[in-house]
Amino acid sequence: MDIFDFGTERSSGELEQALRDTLLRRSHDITAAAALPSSSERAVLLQKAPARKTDSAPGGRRVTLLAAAVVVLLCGASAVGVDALARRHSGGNSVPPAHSTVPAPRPTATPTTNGVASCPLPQGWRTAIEAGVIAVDQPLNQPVSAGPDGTFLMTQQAISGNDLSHDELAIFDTDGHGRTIWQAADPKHDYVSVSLDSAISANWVVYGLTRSQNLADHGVRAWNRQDGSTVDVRTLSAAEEAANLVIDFSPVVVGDTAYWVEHEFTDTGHETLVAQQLPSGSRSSQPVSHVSRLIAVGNGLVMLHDTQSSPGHVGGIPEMLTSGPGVTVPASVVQSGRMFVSDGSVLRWLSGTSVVSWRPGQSGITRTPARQAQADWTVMGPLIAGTSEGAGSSQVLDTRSGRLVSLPAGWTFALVTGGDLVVAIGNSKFGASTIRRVNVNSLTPASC
Amino acid sequence: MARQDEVSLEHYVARHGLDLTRFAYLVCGDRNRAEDLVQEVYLGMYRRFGDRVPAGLPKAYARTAIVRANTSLGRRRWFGEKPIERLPDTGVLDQHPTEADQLWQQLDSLSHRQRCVLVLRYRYGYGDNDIAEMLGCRPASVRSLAARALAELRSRATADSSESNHRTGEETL
Repeated sequence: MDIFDFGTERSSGELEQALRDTLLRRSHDITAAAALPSSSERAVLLQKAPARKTDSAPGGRRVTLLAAAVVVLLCGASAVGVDALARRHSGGNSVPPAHSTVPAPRPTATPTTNGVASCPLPQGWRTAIEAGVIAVDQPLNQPVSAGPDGTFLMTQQAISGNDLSHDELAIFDTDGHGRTIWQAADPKHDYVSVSLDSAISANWVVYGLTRSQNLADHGVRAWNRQDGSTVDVRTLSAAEEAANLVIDFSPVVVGDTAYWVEHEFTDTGHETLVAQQLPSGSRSSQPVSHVSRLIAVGNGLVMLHDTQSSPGHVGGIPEMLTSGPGVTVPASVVQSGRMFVSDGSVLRWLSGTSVVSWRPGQSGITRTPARQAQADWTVMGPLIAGTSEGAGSSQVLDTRSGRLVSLPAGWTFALVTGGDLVVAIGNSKFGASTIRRVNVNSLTPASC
Repeated sequence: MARQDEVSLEHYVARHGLDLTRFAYLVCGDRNRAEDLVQEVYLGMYRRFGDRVPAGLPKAYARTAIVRANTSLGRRRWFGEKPIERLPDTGVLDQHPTEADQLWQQLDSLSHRQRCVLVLRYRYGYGDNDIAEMLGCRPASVRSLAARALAELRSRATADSSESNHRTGEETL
């Protein structure tokens, strides 16, 4: 008896043979090997997640312009990219892009290649976004984490000559002021990992230290927002690393407690959730298994589980929401969903064709229609952003109006923090040249 | 002076690059992502071995790295790399895709791990123990993943067939 016979028309043998044939045939879709980056490119590409805030550019304008030129050369950036970089370095009060002064065409919905009609970026949105300048003095910037209080973390990168020279993680306050949290000692091999939404509390920023090889963290650090000091919360010993112990995905913080998950690299069935009172108080732990993410919401944590996949947040993959320390998820709310995200008090996720929201203490959930959103799009307050197959640029679903908006090339709605949307403009492979910030409520519901 | 039991990274890539890129493509289902995955793995090898890699470094090493990089690439939020320009697609959408094309499309409905298991088992002939090692799970989990994946494909095939029959019926009315 065939163990894969599920009682359907086609026998399992036929299906398996069809799979073999299909995979063999489709493998020949690829007729050329991926190129090995050149030596100089390898030196640059080895820098992983970037990092840098900047109140003042240590290298000055000359260096950053040189860096920008190098990025353009290495990344093969388009003339648009060069223009964007040049604009950004024209000064703190950068000149608005020329297209912002051109009267916008009357917006009309146009079908994308995936068949879903979308609106062009409303002129009001463009104007509001472009007015929200966040001053940066490095060419490459990536907003990576939203705080519950309007702060956000951004990685920033500088290049000198042909090499990456400077990586930092910085926190940006609501007034646009940035402070450096972490700086790479060895930019070619070390980088930080940061929770998308649970790295910042009133007093702390918690992040992981990652080395290049297995992409798992080997340390947890906490940065004191009050005095700027850094606490070594956890560092794997050489013996632990030799035993293949890893700190998987990014640590999180709730109030004054840092949380992270440790396990032997290949044994996700036996994991340990560790809680550490900051800065150096008591530490406790509890066994867990197959945790894919920790998310801070309310006064505690929820845990996401991916029973089909290894730890780590994989975009678009269903995860199961369960209770965690300090947060009880009612049975009616325990469910599978995608792209969970917290704004500190409310948890939101995609489920089927809806955005689901729930806050600790509620017995039920709230659903908002989001029929056009793709499975791996990111919920950002009333907006859901991502890229559709067949669409030439990022798209945003405005759940207030149900309309889909196509963003200009190189624009990304990165995150929402404290009701403000952070937008990255001029994206290259490594980051954006320009960062903007705007209150979501100032963007009128999209229509066209 | 180079050691005799080492080869240059370029040599390794020249020898295995096409196969690895095809493997990555089957695992992730997307050409661009496949190239990213393979280049990510090349960089990982460069980090670990430098310009010269062990001559006997098996392709399985790189394949395992690709499988894990595929997971890691999704794990990290990669804001920076967004398509800003879409190259013209020279292909023509088949209005009546063959069964094999449908099967390829249906693979997209599987989880990352389910798809990996099918690719490793049915394209490359790996055993469950080897697949478990590559995915970092138990062999029993591999069997479970495969069973679920095949069941999913089978149910989708049945649904597509019903839909097709329904459409055919409508057209003949």
